[in-house]
Amino acid sequence: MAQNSIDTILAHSIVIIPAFNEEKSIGRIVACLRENFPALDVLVVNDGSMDQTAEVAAAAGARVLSLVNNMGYGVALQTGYKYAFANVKYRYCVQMDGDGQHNPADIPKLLAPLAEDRADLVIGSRFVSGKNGYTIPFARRAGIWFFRTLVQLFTSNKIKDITSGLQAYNRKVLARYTSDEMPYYYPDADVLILLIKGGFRVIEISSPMNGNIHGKSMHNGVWSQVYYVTIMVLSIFVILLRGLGKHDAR
Amino acid sequence: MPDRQIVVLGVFFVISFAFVLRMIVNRQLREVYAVAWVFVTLSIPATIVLFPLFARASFFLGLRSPFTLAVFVGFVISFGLLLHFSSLNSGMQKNLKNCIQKIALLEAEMKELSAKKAKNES
Repeated sequence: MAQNSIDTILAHSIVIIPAFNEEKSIGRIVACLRENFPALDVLVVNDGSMDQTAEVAAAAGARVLSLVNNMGYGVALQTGYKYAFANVKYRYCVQMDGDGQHNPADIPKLLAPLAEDRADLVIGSRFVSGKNGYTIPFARRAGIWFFRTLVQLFTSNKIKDITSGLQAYNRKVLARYTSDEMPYYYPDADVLILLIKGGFRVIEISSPMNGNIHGKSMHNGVWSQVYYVTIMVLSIFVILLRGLGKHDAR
Repeated sequence: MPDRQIVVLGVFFVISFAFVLRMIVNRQLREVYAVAWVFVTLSIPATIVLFPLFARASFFLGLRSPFTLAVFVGFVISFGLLLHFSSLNSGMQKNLKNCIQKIALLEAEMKELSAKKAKNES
């Protein structure tokens, strides 16, 4: 794709980064994005952080939305979606984590299939090339395998990385994401099932990830993982039961 | 119903009813949520007064003791109350989420407008 067309795509895109107590990494990520893609808008959704996340992000050149309370990853993301959707300038949206695991250099690769209208949602996958800068713990790998199997079972779509936080999508998906019916606790496999069953085109491209600089995840601890699996299974069950998402993309 | 049980239930009713009433008066419990608790506390004297009917209902259902029926009714009421308040809580959580999101979005819009205004003035 020609450089000027990439610049045009980037000028109509926004990166959403939900962040909770990420003052150590957020400045570096925002600065990297601003330096490599000056045309791209960066939005940090500060999820009620108790540290200087909002100030650090703003100083690095990001637009900052601050939630008055810590509402969780899904709510922070949805706030970003609502901001992007309200601004018609943004045709494409990229979401990435604030812990430094995702590689900003992959953003043009994620946006290209959207601009060429080959997909509605593009997932930056850790498993397409098989190369990663960190080792995924066994329990998480088992969880990913379980939910990947469920997604395949209910949608026949062979997506490998159903929990990737690096995604890009167009306004059609954005409209769906901003609705009140959207599961907002931990949007992962349930949302993918909802979108694929709704006729949205979901593809994945290779995007190896780095290790988290804090070494912590939001699903640390046995209880947190059991809670996540329970909520996710219930959410998928509800989606299938209600038949949500059918014919949405049309 | 034996007198001692009537006394125990009566004392429990007076205490619980007074407690609920005090919470309503002090605005610690809004009327809309208090209805269920007033109903629960009033069911205690109703059980005392309507005990013969209660005993007959137990006999009809094949229960040896009317207190087994009381436990079952208590379970049904608790289940209903929990479900009712969980449903209220879910609705409130959705409203809270939307409010917090709206505040963040409006705050950002206000900042952007202020920045534009400052730019125009300069």
